[in-house]
Amino acid sequence: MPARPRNIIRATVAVLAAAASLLITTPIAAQAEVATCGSRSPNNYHAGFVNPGDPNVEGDYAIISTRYGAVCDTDTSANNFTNQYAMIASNNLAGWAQDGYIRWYGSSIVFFAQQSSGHSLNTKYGTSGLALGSTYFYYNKWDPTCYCMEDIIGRTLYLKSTWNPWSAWVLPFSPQFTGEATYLASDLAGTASAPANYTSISGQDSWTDAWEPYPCGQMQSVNDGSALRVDGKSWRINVTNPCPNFNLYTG
Amino acid sequence: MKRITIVAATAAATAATLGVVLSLTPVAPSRVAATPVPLRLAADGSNGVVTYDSEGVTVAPPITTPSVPAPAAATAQSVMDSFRSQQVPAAVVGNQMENGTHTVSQAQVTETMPTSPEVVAGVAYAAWVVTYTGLPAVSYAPAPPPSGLSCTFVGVMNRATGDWTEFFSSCS
Repeated sequence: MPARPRNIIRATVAVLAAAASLLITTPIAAQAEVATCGSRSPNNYHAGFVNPGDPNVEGDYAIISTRYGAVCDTDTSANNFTNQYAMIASNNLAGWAQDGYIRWYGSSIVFFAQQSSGHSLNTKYGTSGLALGSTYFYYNKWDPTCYCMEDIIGRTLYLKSTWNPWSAWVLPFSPQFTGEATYLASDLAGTASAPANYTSISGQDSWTDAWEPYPCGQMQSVNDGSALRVDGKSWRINVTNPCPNFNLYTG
Repeated sequence: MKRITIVAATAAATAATLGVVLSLTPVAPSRVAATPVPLRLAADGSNGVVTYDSEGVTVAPPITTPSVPAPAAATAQSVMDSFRSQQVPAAVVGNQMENGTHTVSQAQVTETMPTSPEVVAGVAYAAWVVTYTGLPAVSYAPAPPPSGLSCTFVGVMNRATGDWTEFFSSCS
């Protein structure tokens, strides 16, 4: 008996739904981390662009594309993660506000936002997986109406500090746009052909509270994972146009 | 109060004293509140209400509702079965999942900054709340977490839909 059109549609929808589900949850075979995690740093490992201290900035944001990053296999705890984020931090890095996306060993990719006054730590996570290739705004915003720092993803407020960064942190603040992993054996999200793109990088003016494109040439690159690993790969940073946009990937 | 006001007043007084005219350098407005914002991570009220201020979540005792819960929200056991299968708690709670100190209870939850599209800010909803205490702090920044912190991980399930509406960790 020939398939009825409605059944064909249902079957097509089911196949598409299954494919979409796989897209969200399945690791991409093209990336393969180093299996053995090895040693770790208490500060974790980073690659991207930072300004150690910018007196003109009190908040920041970037658009970051969602990419998959594999993590090493011998640590299956919550400590073994790879992430990408925008952050504004205390000059001594003892406090921070950051948001981006994260995945752990065996997990899908979810939003996260984390804030520390230097004495406290609050973290909120997304409750559903992100689609590969999707892009989101990640804001760390000083809000003069509450004297607080807000972490906003897209248009959704994730965290709102109960403390004032201007009194809790050391000035000037440090804007940072980086990928991070617990182990150098893990990958930063992205591949050469589909890197994690950081675009529309902006700062919140500490005089006017307005958002402005972050000036070119005022950040320095950091890459703790530039050395080739045993698998012949390393963490890579590619500067793109317009400055200060850049891409991160492992390859 | 703006810092520029203080600077201007001080400069004016100095200028008057010295008999000179000063060219004021603009100074950014003050970012410090006249009254310091109190640090409150989670407040446990005497009426059984717990508020997580940074996350915008208030957990209050449940009120009786005649509505039928979603299958995943039918019992504490079904809630925990769902909780264990979620990737965020599986990663963050990790090996503490079975033996870590935790509670699972029904509650009335109100959020001021919901992240789930099925939650309306300020509108209370019937929920299950899973709470793990005594977890270690994990930093996602280029620095270790503040020392001496103990973390509470909270998962909130909408009783009506069985969907998880919040996962967060509050450390103090």
